[in-house]
Amino acid sequence: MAKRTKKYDIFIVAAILLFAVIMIFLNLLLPQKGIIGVKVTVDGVLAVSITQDGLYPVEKDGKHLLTVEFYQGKARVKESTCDNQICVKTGWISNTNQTIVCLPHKIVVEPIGGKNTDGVDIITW
Amino acid sequence: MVKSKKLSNISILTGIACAMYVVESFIPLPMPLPGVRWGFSNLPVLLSAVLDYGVLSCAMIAFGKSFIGGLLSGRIASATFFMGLSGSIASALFMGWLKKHAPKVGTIGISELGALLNNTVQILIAGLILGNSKAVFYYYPYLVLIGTVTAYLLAVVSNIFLRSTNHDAKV
Amino acid sequence: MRAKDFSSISKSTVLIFSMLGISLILLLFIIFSKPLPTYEKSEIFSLGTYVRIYIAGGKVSSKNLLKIAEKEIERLYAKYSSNIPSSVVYQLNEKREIECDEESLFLFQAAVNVSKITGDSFDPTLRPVLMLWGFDDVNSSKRVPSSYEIEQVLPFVSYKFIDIDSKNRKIKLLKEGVTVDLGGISKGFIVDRVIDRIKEIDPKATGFIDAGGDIGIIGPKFGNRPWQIGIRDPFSSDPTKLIDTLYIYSGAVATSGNYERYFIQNGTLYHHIIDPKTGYPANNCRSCTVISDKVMTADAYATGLFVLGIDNPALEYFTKFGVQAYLIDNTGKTVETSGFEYFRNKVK
Repeated sequence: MAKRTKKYDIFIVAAILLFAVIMIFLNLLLPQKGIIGVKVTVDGVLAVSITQDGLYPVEKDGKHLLTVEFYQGKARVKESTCDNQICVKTGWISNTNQTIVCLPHKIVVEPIGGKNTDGVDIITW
Repeated sequence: MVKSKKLSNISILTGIACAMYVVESFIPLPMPLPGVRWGFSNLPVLLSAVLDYGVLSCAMIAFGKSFIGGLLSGRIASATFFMGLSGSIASALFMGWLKKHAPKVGTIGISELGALLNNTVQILIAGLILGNSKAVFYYYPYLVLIGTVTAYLLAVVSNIFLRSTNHDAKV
Repeated sequence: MRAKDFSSISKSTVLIFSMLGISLILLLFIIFSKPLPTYEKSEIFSLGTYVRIYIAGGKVSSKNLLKIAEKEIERLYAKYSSNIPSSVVYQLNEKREIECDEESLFLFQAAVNVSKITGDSFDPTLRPVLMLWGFDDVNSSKRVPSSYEIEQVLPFVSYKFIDIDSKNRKIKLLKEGVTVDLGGISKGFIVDRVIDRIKEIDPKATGFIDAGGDIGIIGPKFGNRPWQIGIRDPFSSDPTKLIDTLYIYSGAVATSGNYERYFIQNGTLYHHIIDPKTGYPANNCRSCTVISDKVMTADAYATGLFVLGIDNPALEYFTKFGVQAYLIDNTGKTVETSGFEYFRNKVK
């Protein structure tokens, strides 16, 4: 085995690992602005822009594809008719660095902008 | 190597790859990643690369497993299919090329770089299909991490195979 | 091997190992950082307002905790509302003397205590006056009563007419015509009770209950961060416009404002925070925010301190009772207790 594992190999593996991990780290550390809404595109075309809490069914050609839920600055795909359910399993996204993708339906749920009021949770009045 | 023997070996490898292709679609990923598969089915491709079968052979096996495997698992013409097909072929070509033109890179290196290219192409294709590349970019690093682990395993298996068949002695 | 080879080998080895090391550390960090708990929410109309409950359970499911909270709120509202015939308050007003449980005794005693401490700026016997104005019930018609009418009912307003016999568990109204309304304190009390119940079931639960701007914290955000609470700007008609922001890990915040319940007649605004001594809406304040450990305390003192107004020389004295307050009057002038500033700091 020593003959076939050359010096460059370790270097390559280390470089790839570092590359991936740094990307993940950046993703997590980047200023995570709270989202004020999400943009749902089907096949590249904007289907609905969501800024109010609620459940939003997404359809194409009369067929129901999935339902997006927006609530308190977070969004998720609540249910979907796709077979691998990866979009549903992704769960909630809450900052501008995340997205939810449903590949079989070609749907992308992308966060919109950031709040300029800095994330007040409750208002006393 | 005799041409017909090489051809039959390639066929065997393609067959194994198809079987692995179908099986790996049933193994769940550690985290939800759209359109992604493990990549174990790239083992025969890797083997053909390190066995010096040449760039073309590698590409044939890659194409064969994606196409036939896709037919068998009924997932043809879906996003996953196109991603897998493009990724495997690009990766196969690269790995074959590496073996010939980059002697300083060992089996692990070839496998890892092949996996990296495979994943990168898959993400690019996914972005194309969705019409939105920023979205899938979020998943890219997790994909690369999983690919790194799988590639290492495949390389180890390949090396074991090479050692037991004493391939180096012939080169 | 030559010395040159040695140095080149170690340099690349160092590079490789440091890269592997960094990736490993980052990876471990990513893998082992705990996922943040998700908060489930519920919104109901109760306690005479819009109640928002936000919970992340520790060992009990958040959804179950929400259901428990909702039920408790409804039950307690029915128990202490002045307008529901089966309630303790309604029964007392009807029968003039009742036997009751520890919980009710506690609430009545607390109301009487705040009355005493605020020099009767908060009073649970204000109901006759409230009924004149129409502030006793959301559905009552609102009007400006004459000074004669007010003079007629003021003699019935005083906490001293409530007799609490804790030994025998009895409450008695000592004068004919005296009626009780726990509106200014029961909302906070109920939120406290619900939070206590939740913490009994699941001590690690976090979240909050927001009952129309009176907030009780169940536990810090994600277990270790403060909740960011905005104080509504009392001069803006936009309910999302804020005048200040507080960072609170535990306890309660309540605000009394003249914009909450009011009506306008002949161009003048009449709001629901009536001064028990005059029978008219208190005018020396526009918004009063109180921070305390319990919502009941915050709720009652927010009302009492609102009535005492911005020129209250004894404001700081009230911190002895575990409250911090911040007042804004109609001209925009503000005054606050010394400990209030602490809650404006995100990092303590």
